Amino acid sequence: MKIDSIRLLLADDDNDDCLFFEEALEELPISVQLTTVNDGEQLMQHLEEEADTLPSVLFLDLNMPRKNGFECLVQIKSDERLKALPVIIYSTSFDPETIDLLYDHGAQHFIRKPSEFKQLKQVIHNALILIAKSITKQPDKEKFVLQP
Amino acid sequence: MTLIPQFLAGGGEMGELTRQKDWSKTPVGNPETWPQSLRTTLSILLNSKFPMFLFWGPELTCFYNDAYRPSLGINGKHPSILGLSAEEAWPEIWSIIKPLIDQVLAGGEATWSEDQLIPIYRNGKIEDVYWTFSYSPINDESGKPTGIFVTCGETTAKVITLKSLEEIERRFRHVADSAPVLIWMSGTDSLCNFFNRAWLDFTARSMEQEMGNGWAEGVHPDDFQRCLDIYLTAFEDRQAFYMECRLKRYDGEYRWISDKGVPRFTSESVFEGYIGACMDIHEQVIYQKKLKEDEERLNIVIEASELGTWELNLKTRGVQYSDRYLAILGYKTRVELTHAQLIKHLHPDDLGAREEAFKQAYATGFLHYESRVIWTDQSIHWIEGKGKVFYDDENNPVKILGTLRDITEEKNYQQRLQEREQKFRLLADSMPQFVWTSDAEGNLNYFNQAVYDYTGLTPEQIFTEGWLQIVHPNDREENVQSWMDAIATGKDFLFEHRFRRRGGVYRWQLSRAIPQKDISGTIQMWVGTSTDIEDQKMSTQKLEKQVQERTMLLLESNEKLEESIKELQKMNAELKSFAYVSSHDLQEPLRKIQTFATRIMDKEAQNLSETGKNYFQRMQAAAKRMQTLIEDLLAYSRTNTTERAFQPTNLEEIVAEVISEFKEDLAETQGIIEVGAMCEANIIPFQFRQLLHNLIGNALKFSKPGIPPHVFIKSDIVQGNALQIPGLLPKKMYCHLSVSDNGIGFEPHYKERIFEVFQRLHGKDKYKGTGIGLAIVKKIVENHNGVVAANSELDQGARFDIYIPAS
Repeated sequence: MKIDSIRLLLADDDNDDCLFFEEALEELPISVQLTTVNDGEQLMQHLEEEADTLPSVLFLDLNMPRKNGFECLVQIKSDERLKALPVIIYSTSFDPETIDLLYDHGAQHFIRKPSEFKQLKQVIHNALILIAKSITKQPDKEKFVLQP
Repeated sequence: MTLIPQFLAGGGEMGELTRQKDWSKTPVGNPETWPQSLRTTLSILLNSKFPMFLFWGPELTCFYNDAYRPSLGINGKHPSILGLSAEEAWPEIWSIIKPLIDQVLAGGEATWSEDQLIPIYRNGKIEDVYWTFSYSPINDESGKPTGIFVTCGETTAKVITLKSLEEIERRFRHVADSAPVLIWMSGTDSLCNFFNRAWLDFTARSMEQEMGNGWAEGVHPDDFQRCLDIYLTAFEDRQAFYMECRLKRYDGEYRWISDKGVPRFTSESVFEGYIGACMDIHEQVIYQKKLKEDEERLNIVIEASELGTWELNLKTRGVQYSDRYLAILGYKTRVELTHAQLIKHLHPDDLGAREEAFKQAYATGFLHYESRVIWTDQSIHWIEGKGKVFYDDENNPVKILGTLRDITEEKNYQQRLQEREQKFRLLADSMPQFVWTSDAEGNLNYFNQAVYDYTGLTPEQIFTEGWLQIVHPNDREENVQSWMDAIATGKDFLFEHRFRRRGGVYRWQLSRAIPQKDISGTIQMWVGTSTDIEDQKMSTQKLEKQVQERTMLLLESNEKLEESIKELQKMNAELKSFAYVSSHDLQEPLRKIQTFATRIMDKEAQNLSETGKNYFQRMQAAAKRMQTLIEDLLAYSRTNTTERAFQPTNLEEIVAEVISEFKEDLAETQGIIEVGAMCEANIIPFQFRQLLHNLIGNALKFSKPGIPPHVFIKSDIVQGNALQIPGLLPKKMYCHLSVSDNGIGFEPHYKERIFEVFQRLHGKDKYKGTGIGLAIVKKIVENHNGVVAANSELDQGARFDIYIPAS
């Protein structure tokens, strides 16, 4: 897929993180469409409506009010219409058990929210490159976590 | 006067009668007219001593001589038939003799008749007379038979004798044939010539088959020779004989028969042969044999039993006895002793009892007594006599048949037994324990003195009212049950119960009884003891109570423990979520601060003064430190709270993984990490990774400035007791991992402190770090049930040794 035609869906309740994400995208030399939702319920509702025209990738934060990221992931991956959507978990916490769990439930990748802006840009860029390759199969465990 | 013709001379009485008879009235006429042949014949006839008779002429006139005369008997034909014609003279036999006369006269040869029965009238009746006679023709001058010359003799006596002999023989045969015995007869040639009906029926053979030596075929081959010898030997000596042999019966079976043979003699003692009588004695023979066998068997049994046998004839007082009998009385060799002599051996003290026994015996028919006998060498032995009395028709005892047995051993044994029992009683009475015995059925029959002393009861009281009265009422039922079980099964009796002491107090006893068995294993009696266990019982009860109480306490503390555990688990869970939440929520704002700081630095750099930039940098550094601290705290708490899943892992892999995390640092500092042989260990992989990360991180961090860090990691397996390190089990095998470096090291007296939380040996400006790293390492090692130790000298590098169980 042409990298320019990527449509991104971001689900995160944190305004600052959404700001960082947008700014990072702006500073990246690629133009992508970004849609943002702020909680789990909103996300699922949005996906319902857009079921026919799914985004290229969903960046999913775990800690969201109402429905959290994990629940959404499970729901998406068990829905015939939605499970093809690559889900990249985008979260602050980084413990191996959670990562294993996410991997087992079909998440495509995991990104730990970096504390440096530079790193954030890098890691998003890496993710998009991978998405552009249209690799739908889940990567090996070693490649699951994307590093900046 | 008539001349007496010369040819009529002599002739005895008949001569006289012939001469005197008036022959002119007869057909022959006067003697002077007689032809020469007649005269000659008469001459011969009258002078012969042989009986002769003459029929002359057509009338067959009769002439006879003296020798012939007796045949005519008395009161018969003599002398009337002299000169009569034959027909007149012999009317009663005319039919018999006429044919003969005619035959001779017809020119036939002379006749010869032997022992012919021709009854004639004489002695006043018709008598059966037997004759042997011959009719021969007398020819006249012309050669024509004119007369019949009869030479004859009466053979009546002979014939009668013969006939009576025949009769006897016939009668004998008849008797023989009717006799049930088998009868045979032999002649002077020793060959058999007669077998009676019974014999022939027995053997199912014919007389012809048996005759001569034919009978021998029926004799059993084993007996034949013997029988023949006996017979012939007797035969030679004309002696009677008796033998037994087997003869084949009509059914083919050989039967034992007795054969008694006696020689036969005529009335003149002439040997005629043998006559024998045989009887089937098979049953008797078999019976005899059986008797003999039985007797032999009996003798064997008697021999084996070592019983002496004797027989006393009560009338004659004569005694018969076996050798064994004598041996029992002390005689090694056979001697003949009278009854009186035998009695002498009896011990004087036992005579009375023996008398009694005999009196009893006459009444009951059975004798039984025991007594001592004194051998000639003065040794004393015990004997047991048994016998059976036999009575005559008037029920008087006539004899006793008996046995004798040496029972010295038994008696001695009994004696010893009694003595031992005495000893036992003596011993038992002097013991303070209660001792008691019972018979094989469980009836108590003895108590030692201690029992009576304790209970204050007398023997009468105990035996009449029973031993159970001593036992506490509550214990009685089970006591009896248990006792009966022991009696029935033969197993040792063991029971605890209370005995009543005089005064009424009950004290606990432990009773025990074991059976006494004889040689064959049969229980003869029980011997029991009862021991006072009141004190022990009390303390036992006390102990039991204590145990109960302690158990209760234990249960309570266990419950409390469980509660505490539940609490802890709850707290742990809370802590876990707290740690997670707090770390996440704490990190959150921190990250924002950092990110915004970098944004400002990026975007507003030109608007900031140097001081401003400096402040921001310091701010960033502080935020960074805080993040590290939170991460470390999180890691530390996780070592406590996470699941501990042990896996046998090859350490080489984990070490390689961790080293790869330091790729950049190594590149920067030109550091080298050398990895030696790695062993396999049972570890929690996640935690162990953390451990290695911290150790290697430290090793690289605390390097000497300017000198590339050199880290050496190796492992091996050692046994606990080879090392002098406390906390290691001597027998256990440990995996020893060591991480050493060439860094700055530390003073030895800090080697324990460095493992404490937040403990640092350097200012945070000199070396980064939260002071938690080694605390985490220690915690992880403890989670693995191992031990970690640090060794170092300042400037000499440091070595960290970790020991974790190998399996």
